[in-house]
Amino acid sequence: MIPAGVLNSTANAAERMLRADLARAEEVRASIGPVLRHLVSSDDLSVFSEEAVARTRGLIEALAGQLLRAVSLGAGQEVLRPGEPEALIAALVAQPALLAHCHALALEGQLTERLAGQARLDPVLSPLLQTRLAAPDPDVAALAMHVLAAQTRFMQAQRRMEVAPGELPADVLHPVLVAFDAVCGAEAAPAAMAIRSRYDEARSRHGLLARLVLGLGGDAAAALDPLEAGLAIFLTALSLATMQERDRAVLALVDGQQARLATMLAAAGASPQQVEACLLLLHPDLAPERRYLGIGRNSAEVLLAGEGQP
Amino acid sequence: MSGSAPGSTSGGEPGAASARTDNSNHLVCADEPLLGLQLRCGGEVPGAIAVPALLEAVRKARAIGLKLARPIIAQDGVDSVTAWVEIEPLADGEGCRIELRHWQAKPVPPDDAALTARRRIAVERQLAEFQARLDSAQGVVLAEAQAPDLAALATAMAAGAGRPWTDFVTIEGSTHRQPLHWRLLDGAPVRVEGSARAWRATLVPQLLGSGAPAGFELYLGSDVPLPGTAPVPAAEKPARARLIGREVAPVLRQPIARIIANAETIRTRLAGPLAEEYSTYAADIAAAGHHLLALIDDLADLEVVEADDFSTAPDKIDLADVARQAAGILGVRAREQGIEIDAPKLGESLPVIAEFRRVLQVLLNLVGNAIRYAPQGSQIWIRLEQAGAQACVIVADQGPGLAPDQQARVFEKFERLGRSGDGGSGLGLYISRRLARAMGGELSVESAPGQGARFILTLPAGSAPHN
Repeated sequence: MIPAGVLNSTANAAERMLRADLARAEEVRASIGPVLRHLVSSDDLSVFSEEAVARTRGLIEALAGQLLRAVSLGAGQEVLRPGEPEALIAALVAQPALLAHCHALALEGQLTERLAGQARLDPVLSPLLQTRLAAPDPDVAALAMHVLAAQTRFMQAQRRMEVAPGELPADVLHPVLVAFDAVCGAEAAPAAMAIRSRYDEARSRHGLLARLVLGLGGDAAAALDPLEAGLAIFLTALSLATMQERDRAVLALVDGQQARLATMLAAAGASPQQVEACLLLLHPDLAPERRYLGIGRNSAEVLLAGEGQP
Repeated sequence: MSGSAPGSTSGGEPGAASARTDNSNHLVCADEPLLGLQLRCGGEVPGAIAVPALLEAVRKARAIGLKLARPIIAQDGVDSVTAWVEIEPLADGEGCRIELRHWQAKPVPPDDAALTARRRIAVERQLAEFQARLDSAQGVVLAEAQAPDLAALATAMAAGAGRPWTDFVTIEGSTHRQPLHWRLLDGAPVRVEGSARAWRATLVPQLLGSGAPAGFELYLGSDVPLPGTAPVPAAEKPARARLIGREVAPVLRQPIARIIANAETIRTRLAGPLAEEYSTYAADIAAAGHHLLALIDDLADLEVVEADDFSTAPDKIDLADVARQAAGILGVRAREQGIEIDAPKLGESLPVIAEFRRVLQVLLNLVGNAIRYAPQGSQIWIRLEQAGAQACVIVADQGPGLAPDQQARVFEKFERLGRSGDGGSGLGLYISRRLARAMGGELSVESAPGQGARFILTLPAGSAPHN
């Protein structure tokens, strides 16, 4: 005979799990509408293309794999428990910041490859970066070399669908490590500690790109020309000039976001000719709409600053 | 202001500065230009971080224990400053090390009018001490008062529901038949019988669809708290003649900063091409604005130092460090005049017991004066000396110097020694001497005509000097 208390708690646990499953099912059901509407109504599927979605998932799985390998390496032996990788991946996918960031990385990687084919834009070594590499100032040249190395690693990692913890922005990495800790328990602590102490946002690709752009001084305008600067530097320049997140700048480059791109460029101080050239480069099949070309810098700043306000 | 754009293309370290914070997120030390920004944002060093974006970044770095690197954006009333900061949280909650790079200052972008209006309404709603609901003809539907001196008004309105709200109050400075169009009444000064306070009306229209407003929210707010509710300042002293209230100075500063910023925009032709003479007029406006701003600061300081309860917060500080910071802050202005400031070298140090901020204020005044009156191409020396329990810093220039009778008068209030039109208020040295004496020190001058002037700030020494 099983005591009533045990029976009760088993029933409670079962009910709790059922509730959690129901909540997840409800989440899926609630998101069907917006996703389906977008997929059905939009001709352009670059944001939710199968490739972008698969790459986003690939990046997160690779990140989970790296974290778990770090645990095994620290312990000197394989310590993986069954179900752990799946649990960690589920915990990471549940993080909106990481999901959005990996999605932006995947889109940037795809776009870089596309422009390399379409516009013969070198994915790594742009004319601007070449100039910086050849600069007489050794600090400038050294920073450019770091950027070149980071961008090469980024493209290689994108092809392999990988992302290193040290490349994540601090705001994204922190919740990742917290989830890592929650899923893997005490064994994760030394690995998480090692990642934290090694981490330096300024030496990540985003950090290096930002330092390069900020160091341009009088040449900053060149960074707003993707053909001159290359896509990576262009995105950082656009994000710094408008004080918007770099991931938002990436999303402004996809189809259907021409209004946002034109507004951001105008706020960054680009001329109407530059805006037009940029729109043509990214959307060669569409004639740029005239109303996107005459946005004044001040009104663009106000428009961007007012976003998110009711 | 002192923000310098990284004009060079040598991507090395233009506009770089470092700083340290402690475990309560106070700025312990900071280089220019961060120091200036901290002071202009109303903070002190040492003191709580007054730059909101920097404070947020420091808090985040300590909370998540990761080395951060990101751009911050801050406003000091005149300029919008962007900079790249790298923040390293130190072990054991020791605070953070901050490295700042790529400092850029530009005029504050224009505010969105709609956004500003929304903000104003939110503020008025928050501060209102009386609110009423009006119908489309501004007739009272419902009235409620929080302030006791408006209770009678609420009762009267409740009794006379349906009549326009303007029947119950006096709209100041208007003899028109009320109620006027709501836009004319929004923001109007209002007098209420039974209340000694001045009130301000805010009307928020209820816009449903595109037609005329279906009704209004009416708020009454006052800048004056009800007597007895506000914290009463200890021992009210009505006798002192107030030149410009401590309360008034900050209020005046903002519109003047706006005037200067706009005049600068016109002068630099940022808003479009302009005839040379108008650009010159704008430069005059900006210069006059700067003068006015300095005068307000001086008058506000004067009131502070003349207060009976004025005291300073002495601390162990390094006089050499203060002198270097003063030289750094005024370095740009000196270079514009072709003047070289010879400040104590790095590594030199002279501990004294005084308040950092006040000593910096005195030195900025002395060095600023020296720059103003010294000839182009001359030098200004800042020297340190210690004699027993006294330490002093000497600011010497190669200016025209002072005759003995002038030396006697130069520390008097509003003394201009016959000069005018150069942006001085005649208060700087008076205030500086009061500050020096309040810290247990003295400010004196040695000079002869044609020999330059030596201003000597003496302070209690901290301990034996060590170089």
